[in-house]
Amino acid sequence: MEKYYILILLFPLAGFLFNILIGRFISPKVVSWAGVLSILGSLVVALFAIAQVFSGKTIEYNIYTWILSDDLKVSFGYLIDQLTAVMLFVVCFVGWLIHIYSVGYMHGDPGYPRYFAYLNLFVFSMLMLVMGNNLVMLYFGWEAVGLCSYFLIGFWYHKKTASDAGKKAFIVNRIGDFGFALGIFLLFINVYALNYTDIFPKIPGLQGHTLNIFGWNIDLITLIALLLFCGAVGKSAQIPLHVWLPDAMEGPTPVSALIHAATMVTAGVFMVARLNPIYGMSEIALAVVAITGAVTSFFAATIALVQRDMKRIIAYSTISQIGYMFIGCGMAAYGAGIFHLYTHAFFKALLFMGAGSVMHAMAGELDIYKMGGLRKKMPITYITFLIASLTIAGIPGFSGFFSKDEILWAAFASAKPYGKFIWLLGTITAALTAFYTFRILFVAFHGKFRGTPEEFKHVHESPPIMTVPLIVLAIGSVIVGYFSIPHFLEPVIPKPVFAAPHEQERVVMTMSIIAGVTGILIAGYIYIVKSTVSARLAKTFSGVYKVLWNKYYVDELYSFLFVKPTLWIAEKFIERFADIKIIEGIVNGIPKLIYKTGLLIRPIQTGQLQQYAIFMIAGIIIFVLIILNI
Amino acid sequence: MIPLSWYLLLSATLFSIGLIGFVIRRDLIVMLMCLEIMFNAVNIAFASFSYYNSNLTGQIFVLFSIAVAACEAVIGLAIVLALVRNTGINHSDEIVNLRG
Amino acid sequence: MNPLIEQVFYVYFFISLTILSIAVIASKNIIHSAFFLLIFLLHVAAIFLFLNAEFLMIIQIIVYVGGVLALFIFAIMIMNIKEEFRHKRFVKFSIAGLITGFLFLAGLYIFLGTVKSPENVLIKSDVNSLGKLLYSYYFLPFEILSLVLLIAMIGGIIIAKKTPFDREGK
Repeated sequence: MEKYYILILLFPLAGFLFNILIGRFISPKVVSWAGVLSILGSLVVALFAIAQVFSGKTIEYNIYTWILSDDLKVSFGYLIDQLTAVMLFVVCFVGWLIHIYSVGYMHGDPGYPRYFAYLNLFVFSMLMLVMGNNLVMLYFGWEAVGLCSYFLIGFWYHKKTASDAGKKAFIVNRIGDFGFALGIFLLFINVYALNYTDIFPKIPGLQGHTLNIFGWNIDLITLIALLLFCGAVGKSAQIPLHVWLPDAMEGPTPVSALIHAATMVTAGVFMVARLNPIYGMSEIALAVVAITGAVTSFFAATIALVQRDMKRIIAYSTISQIGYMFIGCGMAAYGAGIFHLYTHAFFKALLFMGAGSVMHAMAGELDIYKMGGLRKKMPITYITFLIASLTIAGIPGFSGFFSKDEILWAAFASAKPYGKFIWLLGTITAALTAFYTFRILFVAFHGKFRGTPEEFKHVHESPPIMTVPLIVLAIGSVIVGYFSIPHFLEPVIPKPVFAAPHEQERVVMTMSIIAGVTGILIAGYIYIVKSTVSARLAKTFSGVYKVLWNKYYVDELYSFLFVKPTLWIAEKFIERFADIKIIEGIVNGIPKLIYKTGLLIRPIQTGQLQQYAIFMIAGIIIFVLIILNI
Repeated sequence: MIPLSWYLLLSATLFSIGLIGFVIRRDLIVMLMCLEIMFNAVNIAFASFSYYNSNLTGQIFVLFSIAVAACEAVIGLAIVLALVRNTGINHSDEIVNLRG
Repeated sequence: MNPLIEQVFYVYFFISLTILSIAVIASKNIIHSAFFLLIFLLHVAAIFLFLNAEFLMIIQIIVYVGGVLALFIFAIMIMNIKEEFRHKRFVKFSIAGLITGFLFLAGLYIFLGTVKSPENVLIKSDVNSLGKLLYSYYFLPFEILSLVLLIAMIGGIIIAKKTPFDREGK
């Protein structure tokens, strides 16, 4: 039975091959059926696996030994334990819903087969990432999802902004992946194993080992954990490698929903949770993770306050929420982090798909200040969007409340000195989150329409193929919070240690509810009751507003520090000097040399018969003389 | 008694003169005649070897040599004829089509 | 035969053959060259006679003089070579040719000075034993030679044929 779980991986791969090879020659209907059915097949088999895991079993199976060389044994195998089961459910279920949504969203697009092929390839890569039982499969899936992200962000490659965004995503990802690879190498050198089950018992033995770099002794486990975290920073768009995610909104909206909300960007969190024995042994690494997460979440939330592009606001919201997940992991409450990952997949995908629905109705317009009063014409979209916004704001009863609360309680109650500070930052961010999410809701769906009447006439509710997934996700957003993931994950994820009495949990809960409600009320006041306040606020704090609007000028900073010098070196030095002079000199010079030599030798052939005869005789004489002398 | 080396010297002299003539003259037909001189020099050498080793093999070889020389003269003259007919050139230093 | 007479005849042949061959290669007129070649061939036939090879002498006269030389004369006649006024006889690089040739000759002389001369010479040779040798030991080369002659005949005809282009027009 166990070996059939490879079908979870094979179905999307088959879908990819089918659509990329012959998708062009068949009708779009067949393409969409192939794409959706492959993921459905994965989901069904995954449900079987999850059922087995529910009964307490862990599935491990090696399919094929890839590299077998002395100490290095790398195999394709999968490990399905509770953590993998959670991720499997998220990827397959949300992925399936998004495939169905895409059928309606991408209808009529000329690249239809290519889209579904890449989407299937992405699901395959993500599944390989979560199901792998060794670091090599993790890395393989890691790189592959980055690649698919590049494909899908730059899907409409004729647009320069889209292809630039794809390149940016891939390059920034690569920078993180470099650290990730170094971490894997360092780990391998010290434990000589790559399977999780082989590595984890050996980690305690590495405690206290140090690595000598330029005279400083750095603790080995901390170094490994930090290097691995580099990859997570790149993949999950935390500071300082967050710059690719807002630009990634150039891709189709279902792509944003799947990749940049539910699955790929959460791979970093999954990695930290999966490798928690390593992180658990290094206080410094955990601190770095937590503080990075906290700072990122606050930082991204502030940017989201003033943006006008609906998808961009939701993108910054994603960055902020992943920051929460890293806060959870950094506080050694990995279960809470994964729990938030799980609920976040539902409500964030819902937000993105709602935005896609609005885009569909507004003929591609995304500026919320060009919309307004849409709730009358798009009731289903409005209600699902409302549910998602309530969830993200942490209103009790919805799933976001449970997961966010776990994280904030873990931050508050941890024994670490910075715990309370992170809790404070997290609570303020929760208020900001509620504010900007309801800002979208109130500006776009309430009030009066700010465009022309013809556009308003065009606004319509999306077809059922797009709204049914919205409804399913909305239902999910509400109910999944009641299933306690951290409890489910206990066999593989250690429970956090709480240093505060349990009664204070109520206080923390109340504080976060107050923060959320405050955010909603302020947003309501500014955008519904008195709609001139926002303009006045912008003018009064114009300096702050400008910085926030320009995203703290991070892109410009990177362009100045890294991009322009690299381009300068490439053009001036490499192109002018090394390429033209040296390499082309050699490549052109060798034929020239041969030619000149040939020109020198050419006059020997005169075409005169008797001259050849003289040469022959001379040759014979010399030859005979040589023989006779010997 | 004339020693063998004298006949061989005679053959060598005739051969060299034929060789020099082949390399020097411009006329194609004279070149072919010089080839004939060379052939005859070699025949003399073979015949003298046959005489001095009292072995008839040398004479058989001269027979073959004469026959082959005749064939070669035929073909050579045919080629020269075709050349002169097609290009009007009958001097060897004007035929330089195979120049490098 | 008297050794002295032999030596006189040898000296005569040496000088005459040398002068004749030089005359062949140095004549201005091609017909003169051809006739010098004729006398040369007859002298060579005489040498064959000296070497007790009468059959070779006859064959030499019949084939070479009567066949090859006649062919040369016919070819010269057919080609209709117009004698240009003061056309050059020698190629430009004749000096190099002369030097190489002399070197060759010098090399041969040095080498051939060391050849030893055996004592027992051929007393007489007759066609009978020549024929026996030809048809037993050297039968294969004999047959192949017949093929060669056939091919040379065909080849000569084909190469020297007048093409239809040559027939008309010119």
